[in-house]
Amino acid sequence: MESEERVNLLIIGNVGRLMGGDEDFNPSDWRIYDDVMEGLEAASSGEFSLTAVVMQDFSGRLESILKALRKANPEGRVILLSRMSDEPRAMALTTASRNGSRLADDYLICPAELSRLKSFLEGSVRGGVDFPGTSLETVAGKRGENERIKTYRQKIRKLERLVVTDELTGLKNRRYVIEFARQIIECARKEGKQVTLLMFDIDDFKHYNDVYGHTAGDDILRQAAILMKRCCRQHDVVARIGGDEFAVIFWQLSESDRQKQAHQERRSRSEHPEEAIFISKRFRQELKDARLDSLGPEGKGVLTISGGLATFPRDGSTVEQLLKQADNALLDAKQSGKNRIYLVGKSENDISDIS
Amino acid sequence: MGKKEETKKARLIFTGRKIGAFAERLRSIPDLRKADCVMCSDIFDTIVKIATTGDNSGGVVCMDLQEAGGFAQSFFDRFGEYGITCCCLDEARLAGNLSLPENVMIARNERHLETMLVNLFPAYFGSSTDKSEDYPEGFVKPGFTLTRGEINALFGESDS
Repeated sequence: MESEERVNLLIIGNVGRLMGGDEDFNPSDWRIYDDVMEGLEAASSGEFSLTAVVMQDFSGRLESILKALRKANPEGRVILLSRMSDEPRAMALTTASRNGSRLADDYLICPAELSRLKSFLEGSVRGGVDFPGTSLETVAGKRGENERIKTYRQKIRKLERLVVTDELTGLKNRRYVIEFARQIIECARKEGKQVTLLMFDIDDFKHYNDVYGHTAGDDILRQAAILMKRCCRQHDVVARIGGDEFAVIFWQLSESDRQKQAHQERRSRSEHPEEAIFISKRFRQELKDARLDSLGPEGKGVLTISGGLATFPRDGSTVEQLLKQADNALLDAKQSGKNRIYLVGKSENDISDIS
Repeated sequence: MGKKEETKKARLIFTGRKIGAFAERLRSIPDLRKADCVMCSDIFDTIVKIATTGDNSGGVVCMDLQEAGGFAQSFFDRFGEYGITCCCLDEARLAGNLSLPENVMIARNERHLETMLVNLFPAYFGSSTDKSEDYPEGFVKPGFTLTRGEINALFGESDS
């Protein structure tokens, strides 16, 4: 019925690096501006119901841009196109502040197919907008459809979370950590930064499972997960990658992000891999001090871990190489009597000897 | 079409917190007091403010050049089509590294910037006290943009 095609989607930033093409996605429905000023100008026209912003292009000024975008088009929805490494920030930006306002409505982890934006687009029909000649039944029908789309999107988000989450511990899973490592190594390569991978497992886990039962074993895994998360910085990625095997990716924030988080985080004065070593040591100590109710009164101080640390670019240039190196170091730690964390290339010394 | 609109005033946009205190002082200057002063938190806020106004009635943006950061070029490039003039404070001497369009004027210190604005307003928009000059609708003559030569004639060559 509508003779004029409505332009609904506005993308600000260089989307080419983040999203794959999709023939199914009709280009007449969207506009892309690499230049943020042009993008904001376009948003001010009010004709876009959805604006997607490439986070990585504007890291230092992202908040200001999002605030301006809200002013430019208060009715429109804003989503962030985020890399995995930007996810904590994307989550923070989509969380409502005390007054209920949010800088962005949602985020999409990239790389992704362009068609993924469709579901956001379909769910972003502006409230209160009526079209001349539209019957009440049609409006009601559209509202019902919007509700269905909203529910559908919520289900997709839930599924997406499940796909990358370990159900038992709530940590990320192997699939996530490998993809994250791949992306963060790529960034580190470009920016001349370091990434450290820690792989660890719980010493004699089978023994606890056999003696105290699988419920106690599950409790141990959950406790270890909680303690490790508590020891790590907010942006580090902690994952359970197998039975009692865990992996942690320690990576460096950009300077602007670091300044923002500096007041929130416990930080050592040192840098990679020393910072990873510092956190690993603290985790071992926390585990030692933890009271494990499922192991009874003698549960305190019995739990130990063995681990291996490998750092990009020193110990490997790909995820596979880092995983292999960290795994070898872990194996060395096990064979040397357990309850220690080894650095690649320092197999005769566990990290407790490194200051 | 061409009749003077009494209620519409010259628009003076102050961009960024750095210029805030200076803006307060400027507002007490009689010629500028009559301007429609707007505070924008940063350059993104400014571009939205200009774009949402939706007309090409011009105005002056006053800011510290540092505020624009890496977005300076793209920010200033947008001004041409809106008839905006930008007066930038550049104590950090950053302008030399940029290729600034003609509608961007550089002041080396606050005093220079103040002189620039005080002189610019009556010349560019018509003095609020000068009733003899009849400007058309809005506060800027349509199609009128100061050339580099005119700016130099007005303020003297900027020190290089």
